[in-house]
Amino acid sequence: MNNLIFIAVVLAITALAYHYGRRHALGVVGGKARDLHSLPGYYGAYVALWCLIPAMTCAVLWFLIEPLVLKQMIVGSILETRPGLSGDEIGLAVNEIHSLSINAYAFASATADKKALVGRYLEIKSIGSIAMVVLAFALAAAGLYYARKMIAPRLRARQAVEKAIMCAMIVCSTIAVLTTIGIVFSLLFEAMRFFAHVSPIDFLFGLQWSPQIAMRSDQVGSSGAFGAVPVFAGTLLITAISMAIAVPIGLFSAIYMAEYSSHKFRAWVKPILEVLAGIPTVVYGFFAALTMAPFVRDVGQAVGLDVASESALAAGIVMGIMIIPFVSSLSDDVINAVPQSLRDGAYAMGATKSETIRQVVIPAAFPGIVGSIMLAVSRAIGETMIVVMAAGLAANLTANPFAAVTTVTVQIVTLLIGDQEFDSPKTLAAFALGLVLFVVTLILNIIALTVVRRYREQYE
Amino acid sequence: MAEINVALSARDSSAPTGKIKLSARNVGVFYGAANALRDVNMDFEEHQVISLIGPSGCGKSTFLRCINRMNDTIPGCRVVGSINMDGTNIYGPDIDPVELRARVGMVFQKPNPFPKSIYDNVAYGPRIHGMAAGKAELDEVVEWALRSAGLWEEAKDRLQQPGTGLSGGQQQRLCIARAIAVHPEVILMDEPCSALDPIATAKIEELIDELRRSFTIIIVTHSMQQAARVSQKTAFFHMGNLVEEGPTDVIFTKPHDPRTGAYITGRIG
Repeated sequence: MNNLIFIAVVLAITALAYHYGRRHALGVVGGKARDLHSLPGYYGAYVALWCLIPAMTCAVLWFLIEPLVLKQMIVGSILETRPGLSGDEIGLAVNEIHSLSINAYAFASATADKKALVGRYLEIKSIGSIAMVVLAFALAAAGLYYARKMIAPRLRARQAVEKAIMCAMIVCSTIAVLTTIGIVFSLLFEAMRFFAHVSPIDFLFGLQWSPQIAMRSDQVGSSGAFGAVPVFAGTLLITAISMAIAVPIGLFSAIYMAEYSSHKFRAWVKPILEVLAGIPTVVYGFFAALTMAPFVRDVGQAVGLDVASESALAAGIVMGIMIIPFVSSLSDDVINAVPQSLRDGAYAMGATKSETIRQVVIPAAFPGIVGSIMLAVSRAIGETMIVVMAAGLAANLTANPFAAVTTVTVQIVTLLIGDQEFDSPKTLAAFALGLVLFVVTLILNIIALTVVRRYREQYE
Repeated sequence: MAEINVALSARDSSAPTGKIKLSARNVGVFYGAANALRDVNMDFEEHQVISLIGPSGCGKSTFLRCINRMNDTIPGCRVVGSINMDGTNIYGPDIDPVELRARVGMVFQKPNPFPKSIYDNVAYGPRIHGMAAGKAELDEVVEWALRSAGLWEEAKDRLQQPGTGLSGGQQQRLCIARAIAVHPEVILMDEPCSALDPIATAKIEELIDELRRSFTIIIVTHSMQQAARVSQKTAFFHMGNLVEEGPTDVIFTKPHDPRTGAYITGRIG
């Protein structure tokens, strides 16, 4: 709460600094804004930034180093009351005091000397906070003073402000990149812990997936098997089925919308198709489990086929339907982007409409179409909810679309659901699966980018 | 005017055969309710270059696109009247515009090679119309078309490279080669040099004069000098009307209509 007040006060000071800087800049030139190098607002922003940045930097730094400082300060007091503690025990004691300081119930039942230590701890903490606030306001005041002194008709306030904004943009983009790197590393480290239990070769090439770890040695099914091939084969099978549905339907509807339909029809149908992309995947999951799977099973029985009630086919078909708008909408956009002059050229040669589309428009739009399909594949591989609800859990190694298979995402979900110990191979296997999934989608994206780039060089 | 006179005297004045290839009767074009072209009557002789001139928006390109029925591809565009080619109305009920366009080729303002190799660009028309029996025959057609378009020497070693990698002038000659590869009878050119530099323009103009031996050429141009240099006959359009047509030297030296004279000397436009 105190921190919120602090931030509010700093922002209020910043707002005041803006108005003050703006007025002061106008005052320097006697109200004639034309004599200023930049617009008056830039001088206001210049002063405001000189207030805001030092104060906030100070607060962030304090936030980062406060635990370290607090620990250093309290260790002395701890050693006074309990001399001769080892390094680990000191750490433990500091943690205990920290917990007591934020937990009133535990504090009530603590011993007297511990209560004294907690009091000392809180005292140090509040002194530190006050010191930080005072320092931050002092810095803000110093910045205000400096910026006010700098204001002159020739000050390049716009350049300075724009530079600050550019730095802010760099920071934002760095955050996105760092997050990605962080995710990769967290996957990598957990996967390494898994590979300490199970060799990577067994994991990548083993044909048996049954991730059980025994609590007791005499338990039934105590030997876990972590061969991921059946799981990946299941993912591939369902992805292939969904692409077999989504690519033809999506591509043909894109071609129809872009080349044949009237503008009015397109204006109606395209948004409706895009609604498909907005349906939550859990709803598709209902549809797959309750409608599509029994339907596929019944049709299979009618023609004398043995179809599992959680068949790969049902999940794949529904996933394909979900992906149609990815293919159709993006392909429609790239087909529309093919210049009309190319179509005119083909028509003027006596090409029919279908020849023009097949031989001129589609080749010209090809890189974009490949891009849309690759995006759809990545989406299909990573899709979770539909397969959790409609695909099976048993890891069968089969290419039969009527059998039940499981996918990587389903296994990750089942491995991590419920109460788990986070150091057993069973749980860690989820991270290894996630890592492989990540690598596969990464490779697919790289292939897609390469294809797109190669054809673009050739065609434009 | 002096420049135009020089251009006129330099022009090849070999006599055309005199046979009427195309004749337009009461041709009008509507874009929705807007009447872009009114009541055009005009004859085109075989083996002549006919230039259509006039200020922007006067209907000359619209008229050109009537001759191969390209206007059919524009939604809401309606053509009235008739255009006879060798005595048959190309707007008749049993005419397939796709077949017609194989007989009436077109070159556009901006070079628009397909995103294919140079070879495939030229071979495109012969392929879709089934004009070559085998690879050897197709090779021959491609070489003939590229030679006729004056591009063979520059392109023969890079036939498999993309047509879009050529320079602007080369691309436009590639488009001409592509158009003549199907052996059309008439070639329409819609400001074929407006996106090119003077040297590339000169090459195309020479080429037009060469091609006149085999084809009838109708060219829309904004350049008076170009019309004077390449064409035997000129038609002047203004505000959707055909104002005047006649032998190029007459149009440029003794126009009947005051608007023609005013446009040629740069007073309207």
